[in-house]
Amino acid sequence: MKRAQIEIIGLVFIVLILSIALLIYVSSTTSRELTDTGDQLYKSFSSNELATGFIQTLLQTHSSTCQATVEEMVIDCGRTRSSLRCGFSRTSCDVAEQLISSLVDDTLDVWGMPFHFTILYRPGHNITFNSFDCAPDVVGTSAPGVFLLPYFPDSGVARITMGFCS
Amino acid sequence: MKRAQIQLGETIFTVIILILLFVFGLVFYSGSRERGTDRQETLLQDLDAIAISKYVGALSELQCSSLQVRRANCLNMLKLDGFVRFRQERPDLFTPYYFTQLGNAMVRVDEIYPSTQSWVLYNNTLGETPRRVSSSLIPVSIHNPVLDRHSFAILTLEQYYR
Amino acid sequence: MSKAQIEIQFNWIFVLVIGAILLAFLVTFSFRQQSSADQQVNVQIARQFDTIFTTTLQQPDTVKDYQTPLTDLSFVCNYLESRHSFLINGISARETRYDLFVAPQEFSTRRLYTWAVEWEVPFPIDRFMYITTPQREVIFYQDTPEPSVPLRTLLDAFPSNFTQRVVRDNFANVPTVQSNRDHYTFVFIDGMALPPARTIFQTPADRTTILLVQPNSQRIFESGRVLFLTVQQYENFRNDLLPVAEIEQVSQSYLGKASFFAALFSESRERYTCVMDKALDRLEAVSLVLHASLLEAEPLVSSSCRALLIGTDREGFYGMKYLLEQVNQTVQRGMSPATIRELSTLTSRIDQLNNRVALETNCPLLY
Repeated sequence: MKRAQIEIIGLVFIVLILSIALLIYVSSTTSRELTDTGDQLYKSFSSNELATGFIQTLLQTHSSTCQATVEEMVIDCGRTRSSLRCGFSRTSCDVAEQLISSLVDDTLDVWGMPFHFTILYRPGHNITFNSFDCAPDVVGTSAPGVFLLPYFPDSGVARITMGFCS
Repeated sequence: MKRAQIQLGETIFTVIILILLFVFGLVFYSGSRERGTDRQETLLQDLDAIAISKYVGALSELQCSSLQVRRANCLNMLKLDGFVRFRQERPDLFTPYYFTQLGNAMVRVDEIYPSTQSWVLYNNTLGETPRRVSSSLIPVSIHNPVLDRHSFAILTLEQYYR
Repeated sequence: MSKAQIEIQFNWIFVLVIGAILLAFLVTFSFRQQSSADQQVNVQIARQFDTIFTTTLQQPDTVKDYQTPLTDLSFVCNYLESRHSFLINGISARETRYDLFVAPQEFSTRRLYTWAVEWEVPFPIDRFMYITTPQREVIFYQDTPEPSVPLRTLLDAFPSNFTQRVVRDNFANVPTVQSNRDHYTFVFIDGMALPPARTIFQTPADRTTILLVQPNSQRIFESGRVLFLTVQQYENFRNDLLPVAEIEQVSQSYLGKASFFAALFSESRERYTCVMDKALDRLEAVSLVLHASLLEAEPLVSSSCRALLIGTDREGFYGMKYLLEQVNQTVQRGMSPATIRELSTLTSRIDQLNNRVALETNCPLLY
């Protein structure tokens, strides 16, 4: 009888230990998921902030070559007839592309951030910058920054998008 | 008697082992909760860095404005110069206020294009090697109000934690 | 007793001892966990309020409505003793030495209203944040069928979400103790036919604040004075029996819309003076930065621009630099009606000069 009682107590302890182990496993899995969700939200938020801020700042930047901002150069590039004089037979398209490339080299490439940047002037006419094999279809969980610049009074818009890969 | 003693010894030993296992389990559980809390703290610190960068970018003493209309993501170049000057000439006024807002941190604006000027707006290090540094990089426009031109710059914030 | 019986007894003693140790350990562990969980909850609540405040401050002129767990909040503002903090459930959550928070001293709530307004004098200085609850009511008195211009301006600017009512001269909807609010703030504008105290003040005195606004012009928010009155003082004032010295003691000036609402939501002269002292510190810092930026601009601008920014040697012609220096000297005197009066004049002149700068080419605006 005594032996049986002790054996039962032993079984109870084993069940107790197994329950605690299961509890620990479940709680650690849940907290990892919560933190992972938090990490994802943070990455999404910070990528969106960076994309939007980068494009906003870029568009306001003034180029002494064309005596115009990047926004004005992009609009001029997309129009049917360009009006900006950028000296030495350079077009606003060339200067805008070169300026953006230089800025991207000095910032995002230096920081090692996989990004994708596109200006779609018209179907078939676009410029793209990306790094570390970051393509539009692998842009991460962030909603990409999107800016539209109308060519008014001409028809159409320039579509600028930027996104980051996680 | 000897057999009973052995049996008793076995029982005691078994129970002690089980208790130890139980205790280890609880310790492991609380340790893993602490690790989860640490990860959350890191995440919150990173979010803090973004919030503080935006706060600096929105300071009325730095932000571009045109007759009370303020422009986001834009810093006035003359105000940047003035801010640095104020920091250098009046640390008695500068430090108490900005320390409550920024803490142990470094805030710097680096112009990328067309020139490469830099302004260190705030620098209050820990005085020892920080356990963790939380960084935030935000593109900002610097407006030269005399020439009415914008340049491309990056606002860098580094927060230091013990 | 046989050996077996002794053995059984020993076994049970042993089990009891081990059980007791285990129980003690579990109880200690659970108390520690509870304490750690309590701390976590407090930290989370503090973070939640931090987010509330930051979000409000980043979006001025927008009223925010938050549901929170039932929380005891208190806001300490004591400028002389340099005690400025925000406490949640009795625990200090944030030092507010340089935060322009206007809130009741102590309250419990499940719902919070926040509203931020930029203080511009005339350049932007900082944002005041007003914190109130649905249980705190503001009562405006209207003595004419149509509200006067200052009252109309005030009613239009006051957030519609906040608990409020307009009491007319028929006293039909005067709040009584049955209204069961945590606090009542009555607002009168000077020049009105003030009603007798017994007809309008039927709420408990310890939960009532009476404000009499004396604007300097029809533009109520521009500048003026606010009197923080008790019921007796109100009645004496109404009957022209309140001595001038006492009027001075209970009054404080305001400059700008943000400052006006700080007086309204602070619910006491002391708390209003404290937050305005902090605001003047910020004004001092911002004016010094702007002053330094003018010095940086000096070598870069044309002579006509320089005349406006820096001034000339011509007698009586002062530039913005001089005016900012005067602003700086004025705020050193601390919060008082004389300070506000002087600031009102100086900022008006700065505004005029800034508008003239806007007409110049390549001349940087001060704001």
